[in-house]
Amino acid sequence: MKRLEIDTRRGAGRPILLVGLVVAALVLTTLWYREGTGGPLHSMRRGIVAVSQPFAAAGTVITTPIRAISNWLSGLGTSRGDYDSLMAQNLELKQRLAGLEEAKLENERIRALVDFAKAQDLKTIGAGVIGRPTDSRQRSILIDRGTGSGVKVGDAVIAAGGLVGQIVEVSPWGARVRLITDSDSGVSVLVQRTRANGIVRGSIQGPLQLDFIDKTLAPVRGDVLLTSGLGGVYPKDIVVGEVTGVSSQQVDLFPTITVASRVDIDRIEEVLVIMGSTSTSAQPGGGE
Amino acid sequence: MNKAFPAIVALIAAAILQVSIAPHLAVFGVVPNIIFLVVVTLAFVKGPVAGGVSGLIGGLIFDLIGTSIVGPYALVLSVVGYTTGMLSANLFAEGWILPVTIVAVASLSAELAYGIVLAVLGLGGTFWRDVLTVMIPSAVYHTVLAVLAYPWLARLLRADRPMRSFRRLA
Repeated sequence: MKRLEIDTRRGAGRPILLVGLVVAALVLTTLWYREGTGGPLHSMRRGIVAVSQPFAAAGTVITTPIRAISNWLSGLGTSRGDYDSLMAQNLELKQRLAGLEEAKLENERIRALVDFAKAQDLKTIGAGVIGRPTDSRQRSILIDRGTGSGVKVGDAVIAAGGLVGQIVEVSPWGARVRLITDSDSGVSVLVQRTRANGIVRGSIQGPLQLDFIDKTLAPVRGDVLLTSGLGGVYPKDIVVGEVTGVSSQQVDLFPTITVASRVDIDRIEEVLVIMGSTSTSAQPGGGE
Repeated sequence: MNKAFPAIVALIAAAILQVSIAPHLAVFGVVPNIIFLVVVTLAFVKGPVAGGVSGLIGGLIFDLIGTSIVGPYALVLSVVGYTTGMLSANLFAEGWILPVTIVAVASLSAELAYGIVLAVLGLGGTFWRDVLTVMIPSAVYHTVLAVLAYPWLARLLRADRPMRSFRRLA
Protein backbone atom coordinates (compact mmCIF):
# COMPACT_ATOMS: atom_id res chain seq x y z
CA MET A 1 0.00 0.00 0.00
CA LYS A 2 1.44 3.34 -1.01
CA ARG A 3 2.03 5.93 1.69
CA LEU A 4 0.53 9.35 1.16
CA GLU A 5 1.82 12.47 2.91
CA ILE A 6 2.17 16.18 2.34
CA ASP A 7 5.40 17.22 0.69
CA THR A 8 6.08 20.73 1.92
CA ARG A 9 9.49 21.10 0.33
CA ARG A 10 8.14 22.17 -3.01
CA GLY A 11 5.59 24.53 -1.49
CA ALA A 12 1.92 24.98 -2.11
CA GLY A 13 0.39 26.10 -5.36
CA ARG A 14 -0.22 29.70 -6.22
CA PRO A 15 -3.64 30.08 -7.88
CA ILE A 16 -2.78 33.64 -8.92
CA LEU A 17 0.14 32.25 -10.91
CA LEU A 18 -2.15 29.81 -12.70
CA VAL A 19 -4.49 32.66 -13.60
CA GLY A 20 -1.50 34.66 -14.82
CA LEU A 21 -0.30 31.77 -16.99
CA VAL A 22 -3.73 31.30 -18.54
CA VAL A 23 -4.02 35.02 -19.24
CA ALA A 24 -0.53 35.03 -20.75
CA ALA A 25 -1.42 32.14 -23.06
CA LEU A 26 -4.65 33.83 -24.11
CA VAL A 27 -2.75 37.07 -24.79
CA LEU A 28 -0.32 35.11 -26.96
CA THR A 29 -3.18 33.58 -28.94
CA THR A 30 -4.85 36.96 -29.39
CA LEU A 31 -1.55 38.54 -30.39
CA TRP A 32 -1.02 35.82 -32.99
CA TYR A 33 -4.40 36.53 -34.56
CA ARG A 34 -4.07 40.31 -34.45
CA GLU A 35 -0.45 40.88 -35.41
CA GLY A 36 0.57 40.89 -39.04
CA THR A 37 3.02 38.49 -40.63
CA GLY A 38 5.77 40.87 -39.53
CA GLY A 39 4.73 40.67 -35.86
CA PRO A 40 6.94 39.29 -33.11
CA LEU A 41 5.36 35.83 -32.91
CA HIS A 42 5.41 35.34 -36.68
CA SER A 43 9.02 36.52 -36.70
CA MET A 44 9.85 34.08 -33.91
CA ARG A 45 8.32 31.24 -35.91
CA ARG A 46 10.40 32.17 -38.95
CA GLY A 47 13.44 32.28 -36.68
CA ILE A 48 12.62 28.82 -35.34
CA VAL A 49 12.34 27.47 -38.88
CA ALA A 50 15.84 28.80 -39.57
CA VAL A 51 17.32 27.62 -36.28
CA SER A 52 15.72 24.19 -36.35
CA GLN A 53 16.88 23.40 -39.88
CA PRO A 54 20.35 22.06 -38.98
CA PHE A 55 18.92 20.03 -36.09
CA ALA A 56 16.23 18.54 -38.31
CA ALA A 57 18.83 17.67 -40.93
CA ALA A 58 21.07 16.13 -38.28
CA GLY A 59 18.14 14.09 -36.98
CA THR A 60 17.46 12.75 -40.45
CA VAL A 61 21.09 11.74 -40.87
CA ILE A 62 21.38 10.22 -37.40
CA THR A 63 18.26 8.10 -37.77
CA THR A 64 19.04 6.89 -41.30
CA PRO A 65 20.61 3.58 -40.15
CA ILE A 66 17.69 2.95 -37.79
CA ARG A 67 15.17 3.56 -40.56
CA ALA A 68 17.15 1.37 -42.93
CA ILE A 69 17.16 -1.49 -40.45
CA SER A 70 13.46 -0.97 -39.78
CA ASN A 71 12.66 -1.02 -43.50
CA TRP A 72 14.80 -4.11 -43.98
CA LEU A 73 13.05 -5.93 -41.15
CA SER A 74 9.58 -4.95 -42.27
CA GLY A 75 10.34 -5.92 -45.84
CA LEU A 76 11.54 -9.37 -44.94
CA GLY A 77 9.31 -10.02 -41.98
CA THR A 78 7.07 -12.66 -43.55
CA SER A 79 9.72 -14.75 -45.24
CA ARG A 80 12.83 -14.07 -43.22
CA GLY A 81 12.97 -17.57 -41.79
CA ASP A 82 13.33 -19.10 -45.26
CA TYR A 83 16.18 -16.85 -46.17
CA ASP A 84 18.18 -16.74 -42.95
CA SER A 85 21.03 -18.90 -44.18
CA LEU A 86 21.28 -17.12 -47.52
CA MET A 87 21.17 -13.77 -45.80
CA ALA A 88 24.12 -14.69 -43.64
CA GLN A 89 26.15 -15.76 -46.66
CA ASN A 90 25.25 -12.70 -48.66
CA LEU A 91 25.53 -10.13 -45.89
CA GLU A 92 28.83 -8.68 -47.03
CA LEU A 93 27.67 -8.42 -50.64
CA LYS A 94 24.45 -6.81 -49.55
CA GLN A 95 26.31 -4.19 -47.55
CA ARG A 96 28.32 -3.27 -50.63
CA LEU A 97 25.24 -3.34 -52.80
CA ALA A 98 23.29 -1.12 -50.40
CA GLY A 99 25.38 1.92 -51.21
CA LEU A 100 24.98 1.41 -54.95
CA GLU A 101 21.29 0.69 -54.61
CA GLU A 102 20.71 3.87 -52.61
CA ALA A 103 22.49 5.93 -55.26
CA LYS A 104 20.43 4.26 -57.99
CA LEU A 105 17.15 4.87 -56.18
CA GLU A 106 18.04 8.49 -55.55
CA ASN A 107 18.93 8.86 -59.21
CA GLU A 108 15.58 7.35 -60.25
CA ARG A 109 13.63 9.57 -57.87
CA ILE A 110 15.35 12.73 -59.02
CA ARG A 111 14.95 11.75 -62.67
CA ALA A 112 11.24 11.13 -62.11
CA LEU A 113 10.94 14.53 -60.46
CA VAL A 114 12.72 16.29 -63.31
CA ASP A 115 10.65 14.45 -65.93
CA PHE A 116 7.48 15.36 -64.09
CA ALA A 117 8.42 19.05 -63.94
CA LYS A 118 9.37 19.06 -67.61
CA ALA A 119 6.08 17.45 -68.57
CA GLN A 120 4.20 20.06 -66.58
CA ASP A 121 6.26 22.93 -68.01
CA LEU A 122 6.77 24.39 -64.56
CA LYS A 123 9.54 26.60 -63.28
CA THR A 124 10.72 24.59 -60.35
CA ILE A 125 13.59 24.15 -57.97
CA GLY A 126 14.52 20.84 -56.35
CA ALA A 127 14.73 20.54 -52.58
CA GLY A 128 15.59 17.83 -50.10
CA VAL A 129 13.33 16.97 -47.18
CA ILE A 130 15.26 17.52 -43.96
CA GLY A 131 12.52 17.52 -41.33
CA ARG A 132 9.40 15.44 -40.71
CA PRO A 133 6.17 16.35 -38.87
CA THR A 134 7.01 17.34 -35.30
CA ASP A 135 3.65 16.53 -33.77
CA SER A 136 0.76 14.18 -34.28
CA ARG A 137 -1.81 16.74 -35.41
CA GLN A 138 -0.01 19.02 -37.79
CA ARG A 139 1.45 17.65 -40.96
CA SER A 140 4.39 19.67 -42.19
CA ILE A 141 7.90 19.02 -43.43
CA LEU A 142 11.07 21.08 -43.60
CA ILE A 143 12.94 21.46 -46.88
CA ASP A 144 16.45 22.75 -47.48
CA ARG A 145 15.56 25.64 -49.82
CA GLY A 146 14.56 29.10 -48.62
CA THR A 147 14.46 32.70 -49.68
CA GLY A 148 18.10 32.37 -50.74
CA SER A 149 16.90 30.09 -53.52
CA GLY A 150 13.90 32.22 -54.38
CA VAL A 151 11.31 30.23 -52.45
CA LYS A 152 8.37 32.27 -51.15
CA VAL A 153 5.43 31.73 -48.84
CA GLY A 154 2.55 30.34 -50.88
CA ASP A 155 4.65 28.43 -53.40
CA ALA A 156 3.26 25.01 -54.22
CA VAL A 157 5.37 21.91 -53.59
CA ILE A 158 5.09 18.81 -55.73
CA ALA A 159 6.70 15.41 -56.14
CA ALA A 160 6.72 12.91 -58.96
CA GLY A 161 3.29 11.62 -57.97
CA GLY A 162 1.61 15.01 -57.69
CA LEU A 163 0.85 17.72 -55.17
CA VAL A 164 2.61 17.62 -51.80
CA GLY A 165 1.67 20.90 -50.14
CA GLN A 166 2.40 24.57 -49.86
CA ILE A 167 5.15 26.72 -48.33
CA VAL A 168 3.89 28.35 -45.12
CA GLU A 169 7.09 29.60 -43.50
CA VAL A 170 10.35 30.46 -45.11
CA SER A 171 13.82 31.38 -43.87
CA PRO A 172 16.95 32.18 -45.86
CA TRP A 173 18.06 28.54 -45.91
CA GLY A 174 14.92 26.50 -45.46
CA ALA A 175 11.16 26.43 -45.56
CA ARG A 176 8.25 24.69 -43.90
CA VAL A 177 5.71 22.96 -46.13
CA ARG A 178 2.16 22.34 -44.96
CA LEU A 179 1.24 18.98 -46.44
CA ILE A 180 -2.08 18.35 -48.14
CA THR A 181 -2.66 15.73 -45.43
CA ASP A 182 -2.70 18.43 -42.72
CA SER A 183 -6.15 18.86 -41.23
CA ASP A 184 -5.94 22.63 -41.81
CA SER A 185 -5.14 22.13 -45.49
CA GLY A 186 -7.70 22.55 -48.24
CA VAL A 187 -7.09 22.18 -51.98
CA SER A 188 -9.58 23.27 -54.61
CA VAL A 189 -9.82 20.38 -57.08
CA LEU A 190 -11.81 19.14 -60.02
CA VAL A 191 -12.58 15.59 -60.96
CA GLN A 192 -10.75 14.94 -64.21
CA ARG A 193 -13.55 12.86 -65.78
CA THR A 194 -16.63 14.83 -64.71
CA ARG A 195 -15.03 18.28 -64.20
CA ALA A 196 -16.93 18.63 -60.91
CA ASN A 197 -15.34 21.01 -58.42
CA GLY A 198 -14.69 20.19 -54.77
CA ILE A 199 -12.27 20.68 -51.90
CA VAL A 200 -9.77 18.05 -50.79
CA ARG A 201 -9.07 18.25 -47.08
CA GLY A 202 -6.49 16.52 -44.98
CA SER A 203 -7.24 14.62 -41.81
CA ILE A 204 -5.05 13.63 -38.91
CA GLN A 205 -4.97 9.90 -39.44
CA GLY A 206 -7.39 9.01 -42.15
CA PRO A 207 -7.14 9.42 -45.91
CA LEU A 208 -7.75 12.69 -47.72
CA GLN A 209 -11.39 13.65 -48.03
CA LEU A 210 -13.15 15.25 -50.98
CA ASP A 211 -15.93 17.62 -49.87
CA PHE A 212 -18.62 19.70 -51.53
CA ILE A 213 -19.11 17.51 -54.60
CA ASP A 214 -22.64 17.47 -55.94
CA LYS A 215 -24.26 14.04 -55.56
CA THR A 216 -25.20 14.00 -59.22
CA LEU A 217 -21.57 14.51 -60.20
CA ALA A 218 -20.08 12.14 -57.65
CA PRO A 219 -16.89 10.51 -58.85
CA VAL A 220 -16.26 6.78 -58.89
CA ARG A 221 -13.39 4.80 -57.49
CA GLY A 222 -10.24 5.44 -59.51
CA ASP A 223 -11.20 8.92 -60.74
CA VAL A 224 -8.24 11.30 -60.78
CA LEU A 225 -8.41 14.65 -59.01
CA LEU A 226 -6.52 17.67 -60.31
CA THR A 227 -5.98 21.09 -58.81
CA SER A 228 -8.60 23.44 -60.22
CA GLY A 229 -6.50 26.59 -60.01
CA LEU A 230 -9.45 28.39 -58.38
CA GLY A 231 -8.36 30.93 -55.82
CA GLY A 232 -4.89 31.09 -57.31
CA VAL A 233 -3.37 29.11 -54.46
CA TYR A 234 -2.15 26.13 -56.48
CA PRO A 235 -1.36 25.95 -60.21
CA LYS A 236 -4.04 24.30 -62.33
CA ASP A 237 -3.97 20.61 -63.27
CA ILE A 238 -1.53 19.22 -60.76
CA VAL A 239 -2.53 15.69 -59.75
CA VAL A 240 -3.78 15.62 -56.16
CA GLY A 241 -4.77 11.95 -55.91
CA GLU A 242 -7.25 9.25 -56.81
CA VAL A 243 -10.69 8.52 -55.44
CA THR A 244 -10.56 5.38 -53.30
CA GLY A 245 -14.10 5.26 -51.97
CA VAL A 246 -17.50 6.90 -52.35
CA SER A 247 -20.43 6.49 -50.01
CA SER A 248 -23.61 8.43 -49.62
CA GLN A 249 -26.65 8.27 -47.36
CA GLN A 250 -29.98 9.72 -48.44
CA VAL A 251 -29.78 12.37 -45.74
CA ASP A 252 -26.28 13.50 -46.72
CA LEU A 253 -26.04 16.75 -48.61
CA PHE A 254 -22.72 15.70 -50.10
CA PRO A 255 -21.30 12.19 -50.57
CA THR A 256 -18.40 11.01 -48.41
CA ILE A 257 -15.45 10.60 -50.73
CA THR A 258 -12.02 9.35 -49.71
CA VAL A 259 -8.94 10.12 -51.73
CA ALA A 260 -5.43 8.67 -51.76
CA SER A 261 -2.44 10.74 -52.78
CA ARG A 262 -0.14 9.20 -55.36
CA VAL A 263 2.77 10.54 -53.34
CA ASP A 264 4.06 8.48 -50.41
CA ILE A 265 4.10 11.63 -48.33
CA ASP A 266 5.38 9.98 -45.15
CA ARG A 267 8.52 8.76 -46.91
CA ILE A 268 9.13 11.51 -49.41
CA GLU A 269 12.79 12.56 -49.65
CA GLU A 270 12.94 15.02 -52.54
CA VAL A 271 10.41 17.57 -53.75
CA LEU A 272 10.08 20.34 -56.29
CA VAL A 273 9.02 23.86 -55.34
CA ILE A 274 7.04 25.60 -58.07
CA MET A 275 8.45 29.08 -58.18
CA GLY A 276 5.82 31.81 -58.23
CA SER A 277 3.23 29.09 -58.48
CA THR A 278 0.21 31.28 -57.93
CA SER A 279 0.51 32.67 -61.45
CA THR A 280 1.66 29.47 -63.14
CA SER A 281 -0.51 27.00 -65.01
CA ALA A 282 0.47 23.41 -65.61
CA GLN A 283 -0.40 21.26 -68.59
CA PRO A 284 -3.70 19.36 -68.40
CA GLY A 285 -3.66 15.76 -67.30
CA GLY A 286 -0.39 16.04 -65.51
CA GLY A 287 0.93 12.88 -63.99
CA GLU A 288 -1.34 10.71 -66.00
CA MET B 1 24.38 28.16 -10.13
CA ASN B 2 20.92 29.41 -10.98
CA LYS B 3 18.27 26.94 -9.83
CA ALA B 4 16.40 27.37 -13.09
CA PHE B 5 19.43 26.46 -15.19
CA PRO B 6 18.77 22.67 -15.42
CA ALA B 7 15.14 23.36 -16.35
CA ILE B 8 16.15 25.79 -19.09
CA VAL B 9 18.70 23.34 -20.46
CA ALA B 10 16.13 20.54 -20.35
CA LEU B 11 13.56 22.59 -22.27
CA ILE B 12 16.08 23.63 -24.92
CA ALA B 13 17.26 20.04 -25.28
CA ALA B 14 13.64 18.88 -25.53
CA ALA B 15 12.95 21.42 -28.28
CA ILE B 16 15.99 20.25 -30.24
CA LEU B 17 14.99 16.60 -29.85
CA GLN B 18 11.42 17.46 -30.87
CA VAL B 19 12.53 18.77 -34.27
CA SER B 20 15.36 16.31 -34.84
CA ILE B 21 14.62 12.89 -33.36
CA ALA B 22 10.93 12.81 -32.40
CA PRO B 23 9.63 12.90 -36.01
CA HIS B 24 11.55 9.69 -36.69
CA LEU B 25 10.08 7.97 -33.63
CA ALA B 26 6.53 8.33 -34.93
CA VAL B 27 4.44 5.19 -34.57
CA PHE B 28 1.39 5.00 -36.85
CA GLY B 29 1.60 8.75 -37.29
CA VAL B 30 1.75 9.49 -33.56
CA VAL B 31 4.80 11.64 -32.87
CA PRO B 32 6.11 11.60 -29.30
CA ASN B 33 5.97 14.95 -27.54
CA ILE B 34 9.29 15.23 -25.75
CA ILE B 35 8.58 18.78 -24.59
CA PHE B 36 5.49 17.47 -22.80
CA LEU B 37 7.50 14.76 -21.06
CA VAL B 38 10.08 17.27 -19.85
CA VAL B 39 7.43 19.71 -18.60
CA VAL B 40 5.56 17.02 -16.70
CA THR B 41 8.80 15.74 -15.17
CA LEU B 42 9.77 19.28 -14.20
CA ALA B 43 6.36 19.74 -12.61
CA PHE B 44 6.76 16.50 -10.73
CA VAL B 45 10.19 17.20 -9.33
CA LYS B 46 10.03 20.99 -8.93
CA GLY B 47 6.39 21.65 -8.09
CA PRO B 48 3.47 23.65 -9.50
CA VAL B 49 5.26 26.96 -10.08
CA ALA B 50 8.02 25.38 -12.15
CA GLY B 51 5.45 23.13 -13.84
CA GLY B 52 3.22 26.02 -14.83
CA VAL B 53 5.98 28.33 -16.02
CA SER B 54 7.84 25.60 -17.91
CA GLY B 55 4.48 24.53 -19.36
CA LEU B 56 3.86 28.00 -20.75
CA ILE B 57 7.37 28.25 -22.21
CA GLY B 58 7.43 24.66 -23.47
CA GLY B 59 3.96 24.98 -24.94
CA LEU B 60 4.93 28.21 -26.67
CA ILE B 61 7.98 26.52 -28.18
CA PHE B 62 5.82 23.61 -29.32
CA ASP B 63 3.32 26.01 -30.90
CA LEU B 64 6.11 27.89 -32.66
CA ILE B 65 7.61 24.68 -34.03
CA GLY B 66 4.29 23.76 -35.66
CA THR B 67 2.26 25.39 -38.41
CA SER B 68 -0.98 26.19 -36.63
CA ILE B 69 -1.78 29.22 -34.47
CA VAL B 70 0.41 30.08 -31.50
CA GLY B 71 -0.94 29.92 -27.97
CA PRO B 72 -3.32 26.93 -27.58
CA TYR B 73 -0.70 24.41 -26.54
CA ALA B 74 0.97 26.99 -24.27
CA LEU B 75 -2.40 27.38 -22.54
CA VAL B 76 -2.94 23.64 -22.20
CA LEU B 77 0.57 22.77 -21.10
CA SER B 78 0.80 25.55 -18.51
CA VAL B 79 -2.40 24.30 -16.86
CA VAL B 80 -1.32 20.66 -17.10
CA GLY B 81 2.15 21.52 -15.75
CA TYR B 82 0.69 23.44 -12.83
CA THR B 83 -1.85 20.73 -12.01
CA THR B 84 0.77 18.00 -12.21
CA GLY B 85 2.99 20.04 -9.91
CA MET B 86 0.14 20.37 -7.43
CA LEU B 87 -0.39 16.63 -7.48
CA SER B 88 3.28 15.94 -6.99
CA ALA B 89 3.48 18.44 -4.12
CA ASN B 90 0.64 16.77 -2.27
CA LEU B 91 1.11 13.13 -3.10
CA PHE B 92 4.06 11.03 -2.24
CA ALA B 93 4.58 7.46 -3.20
CA GLU B 94 7.63 5.31 -3.42
CA GLY B 95 8.59 3.89 -6.77
CA TRP B 96 7.76 4.93 -10.28
CA ILE B 97 4.15 3.82 -10.59
CA LEU B 98 2.59 7.06 -9.39
CA PRO B 99 4.69 9.34 -11.61
CA VAL B 100 4.04 7.19 -14.65
CA THR B 101 0.33 7.03 -13.87
CA ILE B 102 0.25 10.80 -13.58
CA VAL B 103 2.09 11.13 -16.90
CA ALA B 104 -0.59 8.95 -18.50
CA VAL B 105 -3.41 11.01 -17.02
CA ALA B 106 -1.64 14.28 -17.80
CA SER B 107 -1.00 13.22 -21.39
CA LEU B 108 -4.61 12.22 -21.98
CA SER B 109 -5.83 15.42 -20.29
CA ALA B 110 -3.45 17.58 -22.33
CA GLU B 111 -4.49 15.91 -25.58
CA LEU B 112 -8.19 16.22 -24.78
CA ALA B 113 -7.82 19.86 -23.71
CA TYR B 114 -5.75 20.69 -26.79
CA GLY B 115 -8.34 19.02 -29.01
CA ILE B 116 -11.12 21.01 -27.36
CA VAL B 117 -9.22 24.30 -27.69
CA LEU B 118 -8.52 23.60 -31.37
CA ALA B 119 -12.17 22.67 -31.93
CA VAL B 120 -13.29 25.91 -30.27
CA LEU B 121 -10.95 27.82 -32.56
CA GLY B 122 -12.32 25.94 -35.57
CA LEU B 123 -9.08 24.08 -36.19
CA GLY B 124 -8.06 20.44 -36.21
CA GLY B 125 -10.01 17.46 -37.47
CA THR B 126 -13.09 15.65 -36.28
CA PHE B 127 -12.91 15.63 -32.49
CA TRP B 128 -14.09 12.08 -31.83
CA ARG B 129 -11.94 10.63 -34.55
CA ASP B 130 -8.99 12.50 -33.03
CA VAL B 131 -9.76 10.90 -29.67
CA LEU B 132 -9.26 7.45 -31.17
CA THR B 133 -6.47 8.18 -33.62
CA VAL B 134 -4.36 10.74 -31.78
CA MET B 135 -5.29 11.38 -28.17
CA ILE B 136 -5.46 7.85 -26.76
CA PRO B 137 -2.50 6.54 -28.82
CA SER B 138 -0.46 9.60 -27.76
CA ALA B 139 -1.26 9.01 -24.10
CA VAL B 140 -0.22 5.36 -24.39
CA TYR B 141 2.96 6.26 -26.26
CA HIS B 142 3.90 8.94 -23.74
CA THR B 143 3.29 6.55 -20.87
CA VAL B 144 5.62 3.99 -22.42
CA LEU B 145 8.25 6.68 -23.00
CA ALA B 146 7.79 7.93 -19.45
CA VAL B 147 8.58 4.47 -18.10
CA LEU B 148 11.86 4.60 -20.02
CA ALA B 149 12.77 8.26 -19.65
CA TYR B 150 11.26 9.49 -16.40
CA PRO B 151 13.84 8.01 -14.00
CA TRP B 152 16.71 9.57 -15.94
CA LEU B 153 14.96 12.89 -16.47
CA ALA B 154 13.97 13.09 -12.82
CA ARG B 155 17.54 12.41 -11.72
CA LEU B 156 18.85 15.08 -14.05
CA LEU B 157 16.35 17.69 -12.96
CA ARG B 158 16.46 16.95 -9.25
CA ALA B 159 19.97 18.19 -8.67
CA ASP B 160 19.00 19.80 -5.34
CA ARG B 161 17.86 16.45 -3.95
CA PRO B 162 20.11 13.77 -5.44
CA MET B 163 18.62 10.30 -5.76
CA ARG B 164 20.70 7.23 -5.17
CA SER B 165 18.07 4.84 -6.39
CA PHE B 166 15.32 4.80 -9.00
CA ARG B 167 13.06 3.26 -6.39
CA ARG B 168 12.33 6.64 -4.82
CA LEU B 169 11.60 9.13 -7.50
CA ALA B 170 8.55 11.07 -6.52
